[in-house]
Amino acid sequence: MVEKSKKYNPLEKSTFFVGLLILSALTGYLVHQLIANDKTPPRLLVTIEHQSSVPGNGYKVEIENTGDTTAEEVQVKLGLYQNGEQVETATLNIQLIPAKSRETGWVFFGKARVTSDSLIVTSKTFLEPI
Amino acid sequence: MPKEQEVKTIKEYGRGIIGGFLFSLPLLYTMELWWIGFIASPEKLLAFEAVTFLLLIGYNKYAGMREDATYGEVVRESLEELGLAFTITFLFLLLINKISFGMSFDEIIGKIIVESMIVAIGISVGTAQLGQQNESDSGMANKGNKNEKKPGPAQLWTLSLCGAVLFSSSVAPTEEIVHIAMVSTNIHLIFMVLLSLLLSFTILYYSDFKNSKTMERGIKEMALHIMISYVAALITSSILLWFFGRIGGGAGGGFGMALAQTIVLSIPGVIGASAGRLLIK
Repeated sequence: MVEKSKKYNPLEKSTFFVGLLILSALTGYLVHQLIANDKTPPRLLVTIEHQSSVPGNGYKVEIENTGDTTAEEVQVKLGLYQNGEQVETATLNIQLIPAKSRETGWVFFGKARVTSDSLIVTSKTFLEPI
Repeated sequence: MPKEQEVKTIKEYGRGIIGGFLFSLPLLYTMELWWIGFIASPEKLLAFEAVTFLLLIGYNKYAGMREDATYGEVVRESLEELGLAFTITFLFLLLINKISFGMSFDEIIGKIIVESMIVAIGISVGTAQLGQQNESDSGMANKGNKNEKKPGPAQLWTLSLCGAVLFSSSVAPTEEIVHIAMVSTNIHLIFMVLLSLLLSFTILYYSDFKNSKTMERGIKEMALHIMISYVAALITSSILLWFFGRIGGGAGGGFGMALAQTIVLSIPGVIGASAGRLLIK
Protein backbone atom coordinates (compact mmCIF):
# COMPACT_ATOMS: atom_id res chain seq x y z
CA MET A 1 0.00 0.00 0.00
CA VAL A 2 1.39 3.37 -0.92
CA GLU A 3 1.15 5.87 1.89
CA LYS A 4 -0.03 9.26 0.72
CA SER A 5 1.60 12.04 2.68
CA LYS A 6 0.37 15.56 2.14
CA LYS A 7 2.73 18.30 0.97
CA TYR A 8 2.06 21.71 2.51
CA ASN A 9 2.66 24.90 0.58
CA PRO A 10 4.33 27.96 2.24
CA LEU A 11 0.99 29.66 2.91
CA GLU A 12 -0.38 26.61 4.75
CA LYS A 13 2.89 26.26 6.64
CA SER A 14 2.88 29.89 7.78
CA THR A 15 -0.80 29.76 8.83
CA PHE A 16 -0.07 26.58 10.80
CA PHE A 17 2.89 28.20 12.57
CA VAL A 18 0.88 31.35 13.31
CA GLY A 19 -1.85 29.17 14.86
CA LEU A 20 0.66 27.12 16.84
CA LEU A 21 2.52 30.21 18.03
CA ILE A 22 -0.57 32.15 19.13
CA LEU A 23 -2.17 29.11 20.78
CA SER A 24 1.03 28.29 22.68
CA ALA A 25 1.53 31.92 23.71
CA LEU A 26 -2.06 32.32 24.90
CA THR A 27 -2.02 29.01 26.76
CA GLY A 28 1.31 29.89 28.38
CA TYR A 29 0.01 33.31 29.41
CA LEU A 30 -3.20 31.87 30.89
CA VAL A 31 -1.33 29.11 32.74
CA HIS A 32 1.06 31.72 34.14
CA GLN A 33 -1.88 33.82 35.34
CA LEU A 34 -3.50 30.76 36.87
CA ILE A 35 -0.34 29.79 38.76
CA ALA A 36 0.53 33.34 39.83
CA ASN A 37 -3.03 33.92 41.12
CA ASP A 38 -2.09 37.36 42.46
CA LYS A 39 -4.95 39.38 41.05
CA THR A 40 -5.88 42.38 43.12
CA PRO A 41 -9.55 43.41 43.40
CA PRO A 42 -10.82 46.41 41.42
CA ARG A 43 -9.31 49.71 42.59
CA LEU A 44 -11.02 52.80 41.25
CA LEU A 45 -9.18 56.05 40.84
CA VAL A 46 -11.41 59.04 40.07
CA THR A 47 -9.99 62.15 38.43
CA ILE A 48 -12.16 65.25 38.10
CA GLU A 49 -11.43 68.20 35.85
CA HIS A 50 -13.56 71.32 35.42
CA GLN A 51 -14.30 72.07 31.78
CA SER A 52 -14.31 75.78 31.16
CA SER A 53 -14.53 75.27 27.39
CA VAL A 54 -18.12 73.98 27.60
CA PRO A 55 -21.14 76.05 28.67
CA GLY A 56 -22.52 75.47 32.20
CA ASN A 57 -20.85 74.07 35.28
CA GLY A 58 -19.42 70.93 33.70
CA TYR A 59 -16.81 68.46 34.88
CA LYS A 60 -15.00 65.68 33.07
CA VAL A 61 -14.77 62.61 35.32
CA GLU A 62 -12.28 59.87 34.54
CA ILE A 63 -12.54 56.59 36.41
CA GLU A 64 -9.56 54.31 36.12
CA ASN A 65 -9.53 50.74 37.38
CA THR A 66 -5.94 50.18 38.50
CA GLY A 67 -6.73 46.74 39.98
CA ASP A 68 -6.38 43.41 38.20
CA THR A 69 -10.09 42.54 38.19
CA THR A 70 -13.05 43.99 36.32
CA ALA A 71 -15.41 46.23 38.29
CA GLU A 72 -19.09 45.68 37.52
CA GLU A 73 -22.03 48.04 38.04
CA VAL A 74 -19.81 50.90 39.10
CA GLN A 75 -21.55 53.81 40.79
CA VAL A 76 -19.67 57.00 41.61
CA LYS A 77 -21.51 59.64 43.65
CA LEU A 78 -20.26 63.21 43.49
CA GLY A 79 -21.17 66.11 45.72
CA LEU A 80 -20.77 69.76 44.70
CA TYR A 81 -19.74 71.94 47.66
CA GLN A 82 -20.02 75.72 47.63
CA ASN A 83 -18.87 77.72 50.66
CA GLY A 84 -18.49 74.50 52.64
CA GLU A 85 -22.03 73.26 52.00
CA GLN A 86 -23.19 70.48 49.70
CA VAL A 87 -25.49 72.14 47.22
CA GLU A 88 -25.93 69.45 44.56
CA THR A 89 -25.17 65.80 43.94
CA ALA A 90 -24.66 63.70 40.83
CA THR A 91 -24.25 59.96 40.19
CA LEU A 92 -22.34 58.25 37.41
CA ASN A 93 -23.34 54.66 36.60
CA ILE A 94 -20.99 52.56 34.49
CA GLN A 95 -21.77 48.94 33.68
CA LEU A 96 -18.22 47.60 33.52
CA ILE A 97 -14.69 48.90 33.88
CA PRO A 98 -12.15 46.25 32.86
CA ALA A 99 -8.88 45.92 34.74
CA LYS A 100 -6.22 48.51 33.80
CA SER A 101 -8.61 50.61 31.78
CA ARG A 102 -10.55 53.82 32.17
CA GLU A 103 -13.93 55.26 31.37
CA THR A 104 -14.75 58.91 30.94
CA GLY A 105 -18.00 60.58 31.98
CA TRP A 106 -19.35 64.12 32.14
CA VAL A 107 -21.28 65.80 34.94
CA PHE A 108 -23.15 69.07 34.62
CA PHE A 109 -24.58 70.90 37.61
CA GLY A 110 -27.45 73.38 37.60
CA LYS A 111 -25.72 75.71 40.06
CA ALA A 112 -23.47 78.32 38.47
CA ARG A 113 -19.78 77.93 39.17
CA VAL A 114 -18.30 79.98 41.99
CA THR A 115 -14.66 80.28 42.96
CA SER A 116 -15.10 78.22 46.13
CA ASP A 117 -16.53 75.22 44.19
CA SER A 118 -15.22 71.84 45.15
CA LEU A 119 -16.40 68.55 43.78
CA ILE A 120 -16.00 65.60 46.15
CA VAL A 121 -16.40 61.90 45.46
CA THR A 122 -18.81 60.91 48.23
CA SER A 123 -18.94 57.18 47.46
CA LYS A 124 -17.72 54.56 45.00
CA THR A 125 -19.51 51.24 44.76
CA PHE A 126 -19.01 48.27 42.44
CA LEU A 127 -19.50 44.54 42.19
CA GLU A 128 -16.78 42.00 41.57
CA PRO A 129 -17.95 39.72 38.74
CA ILE A 130 -18.41 36.04 39.54
CA MET B 1 2.90 35.24 -8.79
CA PRO B 2 1.26 32.62 -6.59
CA LYS B 3 1.36 29.03 -7.79
CA GLU B 4 -1.73 26.91 -8.40
CA GLN B 5 -1.51 25.30 -4.95
CA GLU B 6 -1.31 28.66 -3.19
CA VAL B 7 -4.29 29.99 -5.16
CA LYS B 8 -6.25 26.93 -4.11
CA THR B 9 -5.26 27.49 -0.48
CA ILE B 10 -6.29 31.15 -0.65
CA LYS B 11 -9.69 30.07 -2.01
CA GLU B 12 -10.05 27.53 0.81
CA TYR B 13 -9.15 30.17 3.38
CA GLY B 14 -11.72 32.50 1.81
CA ARG B 15 -14.34 29.77 2.16
CA GLY B 16 -13.29 29.14 5.72
CA ILE B 17 -13.45 32.82 6.63
CA ILE B 18 -16.94 33.12 5.14
CA GLY B 19 -17.96 30.02 7.15
CA GLY B 20 -16.46 31.56 10.26
CA PHE B 21 -18.48 34.75 9.74
CA LEU B 22 -21.61 32.81 8.82
CA PHE B 23 -21.67 31.04 12.17
CA SER B 24 -20.05 33.59 14.44
CA LEU B 25 -20.96 37.05 13.19
CA PRO B 26 -23.86 37.33 15.71
CA LEU B 27 -21.32 36.57 18.43
CA LEU B 28 -18.86 39.18 17.19
CA TYR B 29 -21.67 41.73 17.50
CA THR B 30 -22.81 40.61 20.98
CA MET B 31 -21.67 42.79 23.87
CA GLU B 32 -22.04 40.04 26.47
CA LEU B 33 -19.33 38.19 24.57
CA TRP B 34 -16.98 41.19 24.65
CA TRP B 35 -17.59 41.50 28.38
CA ILE B 36 -16.96 37.85 29.11
CA GLY B 37 -13.56 38.32 27.48
CA PHE B 38 -12.36 40.44 30.38
CA ILE B 39 -14.57 39.01 33.12
CA ALA B 40 -13.76 35.30 32.64
CA SER B 41 -11.08 33.80 34.86
CA PRO B 42 -7.92 32.27 33.31
CA GLU B 43 -9.14 28.75 34.13
CA LYS B 44 -12.40 29.36 32.26
CA LEU B 45 -10.53 30.75 29.24
CA LEU B 46 -8.15 27.79 29.30
CA ALA B 47 -11.04 25.33 29.54
CA PHE B 48 -12.82 27.06 26.65
CA GLU B 49 -9.64 26.92 24.56
CA ALA B 50 -9.12 23.21 25.34
CA VAL B 51 -12.74 22.20 24.66
CA THR B 52 -12.79 24.10 21.36
CA PHE B 53 -9.51 22.57 20.24
CA LEU B 54 -10.83 19.07 21.03
CA LEU B 55 -14.05 19.80 19.12
CA LEU B 56 -12.03 21.06 16.15
CA ILE B 57 -9.92 17.91 16.15
CA GLY B 58 -13.07 15.79 16.45
CA TYR B 59 -14.84 17.63 13.65
CA ASN B 60 -11.82 17.46 11.34
CA LYS B 61 -11.35 13.77 12.10
CA TYR B 62 -14.95 12.71 11.50
CA ALA B 63 -16.28 15.16 8.96
CA GLY B 64 -13.71 17.69 7.85
CA MET B 65 -10.99 15.57 6.27
CA ARG B 66 -10.57 12.45 4.21
CA GLU B 67 -11.03 9.19 6.13
CA ASP B 68 -7.38 8.11 5.96
CA ALA B 69 -6.06 11.40 7.38
CA THR B 70 -3.61 10.79 10.22
CA TYR B 71 -4.01 12.43 13.64
CA GLY B 72 -0.93 14.53 12.87
CA GLU B 73 -2.66 15.94 9.78
CA VAL B 74 -5.87 16.51 11.73
CA VAL B 75 -4.03 18.44 14.47
CA ARG B 76 -2.18 20.42 11.81
CA GLU B 77 -5.42 21.39 10.05
CA SER B 78 -6.98 22.36 13.38
CA LEU B 79 -4.04 24.63 14.20
CA GLU B 80 -4.24 26.16 10.72
CA GLU B 81 -7.91 26.96 11.37
CA LEU B 82 -7.07 28.41 14.77
CA GLY B 83 -4.40 30.60 13.18
CA LEU B 84 -6.96 31.93 10.71
CA ALA B 85 -9.54 32.38 13.48
CA PHE B 86 -7.19 34.38 15.72
CA THR B 87 -6.18 36.62 12.82
CA ILE B 88 -9.66 37.41 11.51
CA THR B 89 -11.13 37.84 15.01
CA PHE B 90 -8.38 40.30 15.91
CA LEU B 91 -8.85 42.27 12.69
CA PHE B 92 -12.65 42.27 12.94
CA LEU B 93 -12.70 43.42 16.58
CA LEU B 94 -10.21 46.11 15.63
CA LEU B 95 -12.47 47.15 12.76
CA ILE B 96 -15.55 47.51 14.98
CA ASN B 97 -13.42 49.28 17.62
CA LYS B 98 -13.99 46.66 20.28
CA ILE B 99 -10.29 46.27 20.81
CA SER B 100 -7.76 49.06 20.68
CA PHE B 101 -4.13 49.38 21.63
CA GLY B 102 -5.12 51.61 24.56
CA MET B 103 -6.79 48.65 26.26
CA SER B 104 -5.10 46.40 28.76
CA PHE B 105 -3.40 43.28 27.41
CA ASP B 106 -5.76 41.04 29.43
CA GLU B 107 -8.83 42.64 27.88
CA ILE B 108 -7.54 42.24 24.33
CA ILE B 109 -6.45 38.64 24.91
CA GLY B 110 -9.73 37.69 26.62
CA LYS B 111 -11.89 39.12 23.85
CA ILE B 112 -9.85 37.41 21.13
CA ILE B 113 -9.94 34.01 22.88
CA VAL B 114 -13.69 34.07 23.50
CA GLU B 115 -14.63 35.17 19.99
CA SER B 116 -12.04 33.26 17.99
CA MET B 117 -12.95 29.86 19.39
CA ILE B 118 -16.42 29.90 17.82
CA VAL B 119 -14.98 31.51 14.66
CA ALA B 120 -12.54 28.55 14.43
CA ILE B 121 -15.36 25.99 14.46
CA GLY B 122 -17.19 28.09 11.85
CA ILE B 123 -14.04 28.15 9.69
CA SER B 124 -13.72 24.38 9.93
CA VAL B 125 -17.35 23.79 8.99
CA GLY B 126 -17.27 26.49 6.30
CA THR B 127 -14.19 25.04 4.62
CA ALA B 128 -15.77 21.60 4.65
CA GLN B 129 -19.29 22.49 3.60
CA LEU B 130 -19.11 25.55 1.37
CA GLY B 131 -16.78 24.12 -1.27
CA GLN B 132 -17.77 22.69 -4.61
CA GLN B 133 -18.41 18.97 -4.80
CA ASN B 134 -15.58 18.32 -7.29
CA GLU B 135 -12.94 19.88 -5.05
CA SER B 136 -9.95 17.55 -4.98
CA ASP B 137 -8.52 16.28 -1.73
CA SER B 138 -5.64 18.31 -0.43
CA GLY B 139 -5.15 20.22 2.79
CA MET B 140 -8.20 22.02 4.04
CA ALA B 141 -9.85 21.11 0.75
CA ASN B 142 -9.97 17.52 1.92
CA LYS B 143 -13.15 18.47 3.58
CA GLY B 144 -16.66 17.85 2.48
CA ASN B 145 -16.18 14.12 2.27
CA LYS B 146 -19.75 12.97 1.99
CA ASN B 147 -19.54 9.30 2.77
CA GLU B 148 -22.77 7.39 3.08
CA LYS B 149 -21.48 5.06 5.78
CA LYS B 150 -23.41 4.64 8.99
CA PRO B 151 -21.85 7.01 11.53
CA GLY B 152 -20.21 5.54 14.64
CA PRO B 153 -20.95 6.74 18.20
CA ALA B 154 -17.78 8.87 18.45
CA GLN B 155 -18.67 10.60 15.17
CA LEU B 156 -22.28 11.15 16.30
CA TRP B 157 -21.19 12.66 19.62
CA THR B 158 -18.56 14.89 18.03
CA LEU B 159 -20.85 16.26 15.31
CA SER B 160 -23.74 16.69 17.76
CA LEU B 161 -21.54 18.65 20.16
CA CYS B 162 -20.16 20.82 17.33
CA GLY B 163 -23.67 21.48 15.99
CA ALA B 164 -24.98 22.32 19.47
CA VAL B 165 -22.08 24.73 20.13
CA LEU B 166 -22.57 26.52 16.81
CA PHE B 167 -26.32 26.98 17.31
CA SER B 168 -26.56 27.72 21.02
CA SER B 169 -23.46 29.85 21.57
CA SER B 170 -25.10 32.92 20.06
CA VAL B 171 -27.92 32.93 22.64
CA ALA B 172 -26.11 31.42 25.64
CA PRO B 173 -24.55 34.69 26.92
CA THR B 174 -27.76 36.73 26.68
CA GLU B 175 -29.87 37.80 29.68
CA GLU B 176 -32.95 36.39 27.98
CA ILE B 177 -32.03 32.80 28.91
CA VAL B 178 -31.96 33.74 32.61
CA HIS B 179 -35.21 35.67 32.22
CA ILE B 180 -37.05 32.80 30.50
CA ALA B 181 -35.72 30.35 33.11
CA MET B 182 -36.94 32.60 35.92
CA VAL B 183 -40.49 32.89 34.60
CA SER B 184 -40.81 29.22 33.58
CA THR B 185 -42.81 26.90 35.81
CA ASN B 186 -42.11 23.16 36.02
CA ILE B 187 -44.88 22.54 33.48
CA HIS B 188 -43.18 24.91 31.02
CA LEU B 189 -39.87 23.13 31.54
CA ILE B 190 -41.41 19.67 31.00
CA PHE B 191 -42.97 20.87 27.75
CA MET B 192 -39.62 22.37 26.70
CA VAL B 193 -37.97 18.97 27.19
CA LEU B 194 -40.74 17.28 25.19
CA LEU B 195 -40.46 19.90 22.44
CA SER B 196 -36.70 19.37 22.26
CA LEU B 197 -37.14 15.60 21.87
CA LEU B 198 -39.88 16.10 19.26
CA LEU B 199 -37.69 18.52 17.29
CA SER B 200 -34.85 16.02 17.34
CA PHE B 201 -37.15 13.20 16.16
CA THR B 202 -38.60 15.37 13.37
CA ILE B 203 -35.16 16.39 12.15
CA LEU B 204 -33.46 13.03 12.38
CA TYR B 205 -36.28 10.68 11.35
CA TYR B 206 -39.41 12.32 10.09
CA SER B 207 -38.75 15.19 7.69
CA ASP B 208 -36.29 13.49 5.30
CA PHE B 209 -33.59 15.95 6.23
CA LYS B 210 -30.40 16.08 4.16
CA ASN B 211 -28.00 13.27 5.19
CA SER B 212 -30.57 11.62 7.48
CA LYS B 213 -31.11 8.68 5.11
CA THR B 214 -27.98 6.89 6.33
CA MET B 215 -29.73 6.15 9.60
CA GLU B 216 -31.89 3.12 10.22
CA ARG B 217 -35.37 3.53 11.58
CA GLY B 218 -35.43 0.88 14.34
CA ILE B 219 -36.84 2.05 17.65
CA LYS B 220 -33.60 1.28 19.47
CA GLU B 221 -31.40 3.26 17.12
CA MET B 222 -33.93 6.07 16.88
CA ALA B 223 -34.00 6.40 20.68
CA LEU B 224 -30.21 6.27 20.83
CA HIS B 225 -29.73 9.01 18.21
CA ILE B 226 -32.34 11.29 19.74
CA MET B 227 -30.82 10.81 23.18
CA ILE B 228 -27.31 11.54 21.87
CA SER B 229 -28.60 14.79 20.34
CA TYR B 230 -30.45 15.82 23.47
CA VAL B 231 -27.69 14.88 25.91
CA ALA B 232 -25.14 16.69 23.66
CA ALA B 233 -27.41 19.76 23.77
CA LEU B 234 -27.68 19.53 27.59
CA ILE B 235 -23.91 19.11 28.02
CA THR B 236 -23.14 21.98 25.64
CA SER B 237 -25.74 24.23 27.31
CA SER B 238 -24.42 23.61 30.81
CA ILE B 239 -20.79 24.16 29.74
CA LEU B 240 -21.67 27.40 27.91
CA LEU B 241 -23.79 28.65 30.83
CA TRP B 242 -20.95 27.89 33.24
CA PHE B 243 -18.49 29.67 30.96
CA PHE B 244 -20.72 32.74 30.74
CA GLY B 245 -21.08 32.84 34.53
CA ARG B 246 -24.76 31.94 34.54
CA ILE B 247 -24.47 28.74 36.56
CA GLY B 248 -22.03 27.45 39.17
CA GLY B 249 -19.34 29.41 41.01
CA GLY B 250 -21.74 31.48 43.10
CA ALA B 251 -23.94 32.52 40.16
CA GLY B 252 -26.99 32.13 42.42
CA GLY B 253 -30.35 30.48 41.97
CA GLY B 254 -29.19 27.03 43.04
CA PHE B 255 -29.66 23.77 41.19
CA GLY B 256 -33.25 24.54 40.14
CA MET B 257 -32.28 27.72 38.31
CA ALA B 258 -29.24 26.05 36.72
CA LEU B 259 -31.41 23.19 35.45
CA ALA B 260 -34.09 25.57 34.15
CA GLN B 261 -31.52 27.61 32.20
CA THR B 262 -29.97 24.44 30.79
CA ILE B 263 -33.37 23.21 29.59
CA VAL B 264 -34.18 26.61 28.05
CA LEU B 265 -30.86 26.76 26.20
CA SER B 266 -31.16 23.15 25.10
CA ILE B 267 -33.92 24.02 22.62
CA PRO B 268 -31.54 25.81 20.20
CA GLY B 269 -28.90 23.32 21.30
CA VAL B 270 -30.91 20.29 20.21
CA ILE B 271 -31.67 21.88 16.83
CA GLY B 272 -27.93 22.33 16.39
CA ALA B 273 -27.16 18.84 17.65
CA SER B 274 -29.72 17.27 15.26
CA ALA B 275 -30.09 19.48 12.17
CA GLY B 276 -26.66 21.05 12.56
CA ARG B 277 -25.13 17.61 12.88
CA LEU B 278 -26.69 16.51 9.59
CA LEU B 279 -25.77 19.73 7.78
CA ILE B 280 -22.15 19.96 8.89
CA LYS B 281 -21.50 16.24 8.29
